[in-house]
Amino acid sequence: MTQLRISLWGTIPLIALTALAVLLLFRLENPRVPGSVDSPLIGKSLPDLGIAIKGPVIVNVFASWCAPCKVEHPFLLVAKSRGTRIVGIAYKDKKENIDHYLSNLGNPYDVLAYDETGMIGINLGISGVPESYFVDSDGIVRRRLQGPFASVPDVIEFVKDAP
Amino acid sequence: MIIELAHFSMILALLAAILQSVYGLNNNSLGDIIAQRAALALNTLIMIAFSGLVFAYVTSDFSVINVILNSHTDKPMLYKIAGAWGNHEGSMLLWILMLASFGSFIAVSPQIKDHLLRRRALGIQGLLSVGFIAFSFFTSNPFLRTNMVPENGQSLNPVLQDPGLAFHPPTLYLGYVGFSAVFSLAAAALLTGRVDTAWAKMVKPFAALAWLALSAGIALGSRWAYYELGWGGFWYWDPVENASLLPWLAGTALLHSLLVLEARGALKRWTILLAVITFCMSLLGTFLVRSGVLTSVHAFAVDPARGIFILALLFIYSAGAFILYAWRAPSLKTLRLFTPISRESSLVANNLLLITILVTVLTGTLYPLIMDTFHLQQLSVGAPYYNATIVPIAIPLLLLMGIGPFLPWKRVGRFTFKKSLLQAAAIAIGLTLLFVFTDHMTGIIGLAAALWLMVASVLQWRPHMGLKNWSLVIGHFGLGLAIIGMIGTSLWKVEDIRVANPGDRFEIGGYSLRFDGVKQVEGPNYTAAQADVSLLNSAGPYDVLHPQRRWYPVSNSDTTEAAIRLTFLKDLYVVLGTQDAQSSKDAWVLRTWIHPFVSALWAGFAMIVLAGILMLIRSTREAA
Repeated sequence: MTQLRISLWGTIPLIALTALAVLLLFRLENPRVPGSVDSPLIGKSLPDLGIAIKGPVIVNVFASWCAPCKVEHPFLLVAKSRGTRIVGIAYKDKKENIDHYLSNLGNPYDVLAYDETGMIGINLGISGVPESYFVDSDGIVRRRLQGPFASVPDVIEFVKDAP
Repeated sequence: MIIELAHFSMILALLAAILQSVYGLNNNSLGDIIAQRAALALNTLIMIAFSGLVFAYVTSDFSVINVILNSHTDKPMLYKIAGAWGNHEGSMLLWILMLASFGSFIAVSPQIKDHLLRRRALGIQGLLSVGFIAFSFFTSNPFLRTNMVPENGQSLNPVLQDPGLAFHPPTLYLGYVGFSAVFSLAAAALLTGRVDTAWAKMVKPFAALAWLALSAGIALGSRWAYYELGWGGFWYWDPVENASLLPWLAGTALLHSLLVLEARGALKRWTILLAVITFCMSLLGTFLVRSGVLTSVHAFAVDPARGIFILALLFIYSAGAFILYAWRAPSLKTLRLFTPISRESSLVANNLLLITILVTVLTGTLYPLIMDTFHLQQLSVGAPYYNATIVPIAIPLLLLMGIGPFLPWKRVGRFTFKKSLLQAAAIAIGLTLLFVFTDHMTGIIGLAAALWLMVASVLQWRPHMGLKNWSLVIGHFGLGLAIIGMIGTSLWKVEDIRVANPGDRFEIGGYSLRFDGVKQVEGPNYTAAQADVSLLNSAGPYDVLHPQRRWYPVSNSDTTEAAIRLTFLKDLYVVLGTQDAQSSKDAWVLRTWIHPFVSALWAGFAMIVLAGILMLIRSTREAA
């Protein structure tokens, strides 16, 4: 007859497993929307970037050295022609490169800020370029997009009222 | 007809699995032989079921829903066959086939001499089969038919049409599921109460096979990501990649603690616990891939019912084993004090460090879930976390791996090890000096540790040494080499992104390249935009690379085929991006990388797998 002795240490794996299972079960019941890791700026007012920004507007961080920026550039131009207001932040780039870039490809920006040192990018907490923010009429950040816009409707929808 | 036969075999297999577990775990006088026969029958029946599914794919039988969703007549034959396990239902059936195969290994293996242990292990393995066959049958049945037979199938994801991927999942499953046999033998040992040197000898071939398959599976996946996905990397700390790393870390710790159990009859409880944890980590990996709890490139279609079913299996099997452990482990107590400087102490330290890494990776993988659950924060955990946490643990581990094998068992030999260690340290420092041109301190320390391990491993080489030492030398050397590759690619990678017009020239990492434009080419089931990128020297072009973007009309999707020029020290890696119609109609986005030392990474992985093969051969021979 085996003696029934349960060691305290022996139960630790069981307790850890139970905690893990409860967590995973909870996650299964409450799935997370994919890709919803959001900027902490959402729902807060835009930090002072040293330029006057009046919403509703898209704040678009770009650079002449950024290939995906060229992908979204034509969409921004069309959106602008249909009334979308866009503030451009030229991130870590020389002024003459930016001026050359915009005179070649067209200028979709109502306001343009040269962020040669990258300070504005740091204040916004960008993870790369391009990156875009929707700032509403109260100056509150409503949305963030990492990477380029995929089409003209994407740009126009981006400034529609967020939930 | 074949499909119905396969479907029926699966139902019979469920009955065989029930029979196997009942007679494996009861005390009926005929139970021994019945459990063995049931295990063999189960294996045969699942083999029939799996062959039936492969047959349906080979003949493109579009009355089977699974074939409609995952195949197409235009697909090359290899990918039709691989399509059978390139989806959730089929891969689950492959999982079960392996589970049943390991059951019949246990049933017939001559190295298991303890009849009661064999019988109980078959019983546990049978329980595993019951759970997974039921899961497959009730939630993921691949044999369901439809009356509305379509003209053609809906193809396989073109990303998966790659020879590497035809073999990556089966190899990985062989590893995951191989640890089920180790789990069953550990649980059976808890039931019979006999854990000793003989048990360690007998378990080792199973552990070695599972470990080498898991290593090879991870290496194949990593190669596939590097060469086919066009992401220009080999490891992304993706949750599902981590899910394969977790059982690998636990399994590596297990192989080393088995050494101590075999040599000294010590670490009984710890080894048993590791055997259970390793398979739990395999189950956790299976759950993470198939439940949709974590978003990942690897995830299969999401179905909450499936997730809950696998979670229940994960919990029942693991909790059952842990309860058994809590109950029986006290009787396995071994009070052996180890000398602080001895082989066994160094292996204990190795285990502690490996488990620390495991807990670190597990925490990083689950942390976003925990934070989100308690509404604290939404975040994702990436490379910076893993680099910051794992490197400080890995460096002492590498240093220890260099020292440990020089130490004798039981007691320290009178300074005999000192000379070789000094030699190793001197050579490693000398080699590290070759790299001081970089200003990256962590990288230098990591390189030094890896070089130290390689040199120390080479110094362990002796003429006429046995296979055991060969696997040690090759495995440890391979790990050092792979780490050199990892550090080299992450520290000295050079990247270039540009919009290129035909005729544009640019320089990267000592190469002079010229973009010569893009033309359309036709493949068997795709069309591709293919760029010509010439490599130039003073005399003119001496080689042309052809990166492609492939378009698969059937599945309406495209893939990136990187063009890679391999040399011993560095890879030139060119990826064709999208067309840049805005600036001119012939302009394309072109991304170019220089990845140094990638060949060291693959060679290191190959050596680790080779070490596993040698270990398997030797442990099978010894156990027989």
